[in-house]
Amino acid sequence: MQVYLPIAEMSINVLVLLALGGGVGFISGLFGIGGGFLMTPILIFLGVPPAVAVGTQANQLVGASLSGVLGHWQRGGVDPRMAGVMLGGGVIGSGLGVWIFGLLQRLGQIDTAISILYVLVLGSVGGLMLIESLKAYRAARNPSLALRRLHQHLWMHGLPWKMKFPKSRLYISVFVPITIGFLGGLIVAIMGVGGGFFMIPAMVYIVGMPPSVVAGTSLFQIIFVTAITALLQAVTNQTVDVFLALLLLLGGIVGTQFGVRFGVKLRGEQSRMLMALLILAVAVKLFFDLTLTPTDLFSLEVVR
Amino acid sequence: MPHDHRVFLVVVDDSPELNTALHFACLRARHTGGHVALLYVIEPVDGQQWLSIEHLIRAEKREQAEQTLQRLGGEAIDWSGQIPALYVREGDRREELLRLIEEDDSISILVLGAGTGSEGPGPLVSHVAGRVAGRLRIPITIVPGALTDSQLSLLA
Repeated sequence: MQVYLPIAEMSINVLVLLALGGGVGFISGLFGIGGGFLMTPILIFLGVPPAVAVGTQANQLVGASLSGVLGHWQRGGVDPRMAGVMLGGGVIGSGLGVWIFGLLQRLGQIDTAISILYVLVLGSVGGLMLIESLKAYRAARNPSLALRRLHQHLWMHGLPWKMKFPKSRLYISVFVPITIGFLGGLIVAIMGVGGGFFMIPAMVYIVGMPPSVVAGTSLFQIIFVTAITALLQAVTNQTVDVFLALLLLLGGIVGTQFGVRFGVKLRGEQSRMLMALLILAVAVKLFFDLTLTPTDLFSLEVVR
Repeated sequence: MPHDHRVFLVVVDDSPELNTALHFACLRARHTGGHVALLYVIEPVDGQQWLSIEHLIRAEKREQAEQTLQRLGGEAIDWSGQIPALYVREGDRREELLRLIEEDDSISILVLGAGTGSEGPGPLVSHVAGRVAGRLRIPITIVPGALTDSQLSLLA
């Protein structure tokens, strides 16, 4: 069942896309991740131009984070004020990211830039996850590790424009969450991932939010950042393939539900280690694709 | 635990009728020479990409559970004159409740508060008093959430 993707300018099997959406959705449900940093590279491997993969991914993330946030919202796991402040930074970051994206596109360097960024980010995230799960495997449950004092007061919390965040029980300068939101927006626009992999630890360790409201709050603001980014990418760089996004989203909705349901049983040090290895494998594959001599040495492209 | 006195199990949640159920159970325990047990079920922690974050969330929930039990346990001592037994479990509230009743045969009565709103008595009452009531090891007492303290002291 081949289908032609109008923006990606290629034809691809519908079932492959549905299965991809479902598989990545399953992993996202399992580990509470957006799944963007698996989806985008796999789309690239399938032959989707990296620029289109990233632009489209922002679209798909809107749906994924919207369905993810509902449960958190019901349980009161969202700090709307914190999300709003972060969103302020997120919009600026997204705008700048889309501009950089367009600049690289005009220079004809966007595909290489995306691949290099992915090798760096996936390599370090996968590596850190592997180290973490190896440690946990060896320590075999050492709860004392978790019981360290939270919310140390950092110098940056005392910057001007302090604001009360009752839900997070914080009174800190708005610059801290704005900066983190800004970096998040930049990552959404350039890499097509939600940025939770760095935003969640940053919100816990740097902002000092209570861990239980962090996941919901970050998802809540990612909805808006990805929506704005998808719109900007479509208007500015014309790299959003709605048809591709729709097919991935369909598979993703089903896969995520299964992932969440089986999460409790399948989750553990081993499966976490497997995911770390999967991420590293993707990074290695991207790295070799970048460095090996290509089969066709010359590629012709109209530079816009 | 000797079986010569009754243990009234109360499930902790954030509903207003919890207070009624706890109060009733305490008075009942005081009048019959029994004591109260409190069960707090911690919601399972969602999957997190980073293990350390998952540990932190679990620690925070555990701390909340301990604080709540500390507060309610204090009230239970005031009302029943006995030190309550405290249970903390992690998982689905209904499943863990039924499991605890099966495992711990010192528990003799389950006391649940029924919500007064239009949505019905609450999910736990609907489930335990409805679908599984016939298979339970112990009787259930359902306390209407609207009972006042003076009514409770007359009834208990």
